[in-house]
Amino acid sequence: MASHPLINTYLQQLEHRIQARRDLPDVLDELADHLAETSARLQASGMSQHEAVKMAVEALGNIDVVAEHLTCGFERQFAVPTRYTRFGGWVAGASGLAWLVMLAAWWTSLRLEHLSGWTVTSETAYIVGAVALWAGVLCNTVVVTALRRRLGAIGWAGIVAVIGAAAATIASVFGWLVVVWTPLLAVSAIATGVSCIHNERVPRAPLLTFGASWTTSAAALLIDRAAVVTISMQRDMTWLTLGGTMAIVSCLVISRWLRREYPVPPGVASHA
Amino acid sequence: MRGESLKGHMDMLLLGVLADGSKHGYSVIQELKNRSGGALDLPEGTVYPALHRLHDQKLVSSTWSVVDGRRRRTYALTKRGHRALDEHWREWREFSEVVRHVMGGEPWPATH
Repeated sequence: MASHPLINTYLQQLEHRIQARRDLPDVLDELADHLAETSARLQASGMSQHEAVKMAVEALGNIDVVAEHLTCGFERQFAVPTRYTRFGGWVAGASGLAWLVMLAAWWTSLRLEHLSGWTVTSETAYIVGAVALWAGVLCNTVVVTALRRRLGAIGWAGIVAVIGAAAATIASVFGWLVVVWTPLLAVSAIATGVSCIHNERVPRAPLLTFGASWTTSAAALLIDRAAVVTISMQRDMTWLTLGGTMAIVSCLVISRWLRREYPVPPGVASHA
Repeated sequence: MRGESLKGHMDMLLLGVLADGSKHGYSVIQELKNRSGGALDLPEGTVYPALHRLHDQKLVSSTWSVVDGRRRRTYALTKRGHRALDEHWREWREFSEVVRHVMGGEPWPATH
């Protein structure tokens, strides 16, 4: 790595922007060599070290432009897992499991309620489901963040997604705030899905399912909440089951994607 | 010359520069500047992605060495790259000939 602070700063900023490149260390070494050689030759022509380095960095080009060129066509190489995204992958798996527990517990609760009314057992099953749901929501925040980390650039959709997921997690501690946190989750999931699909960096199907699952589940949870507080309505698990099943599938696929290196098909490079 | 004007031609220019022998990125850029009389004065950082693309397409190969304590990547044209360069060059000559005829008001010889 180069030693001059200007070069180091440039390369560090560039490194942050080109996480897409699986050959990141090689790219940085190559550019460091270029900057060192350019500045050495400029110095040999009589320039001061500072001026030479400054000119070499300027000649290399605007950092955003260079980063864009370096990542253009390498989007599919984005899928290089890091320690955090691998962790996010396991958490996505846990989120899928939480959904499964939630569905099983609430189905049990509903079944028991139909058989013998609202008893301690059905209430316990309901609480287990609620806790599992909260765990799923908590996991969701980590999954959304890991997805954003995997994509590199956060973007407006990423900010919405992460803030939405975090706010939903906090709000979900208070069960009665369901009207707040479920829409937040839906917005977060949709923002994540839309931005990922727009960038074509991840498989589309699981992201579409991910976005749709929280939206469906948010609507179902709101209906369920209304059913609980309104005597005339019966609790209905249909939509929640659909959303939950979609969430389980998408979480498992996303879990796999976050943990593994995405294959780089030949000829993905685009022309300048 | 604007970078936009180079769209589609950058590959040929890089292959052309490397046709004379292997070079590292800095030399490739200097050679582009020298041969174009300074007309090709691109942001230097944008040349590397083009070299990487050619490498991915196996039109150039690369080797690493250590120079003055720094890792240096040197590019060389592959056989496939030579063939691609010949093809690019043929297409370019044909295209420039057509343009010359059109702009000069001369009809392009009919082909069957």
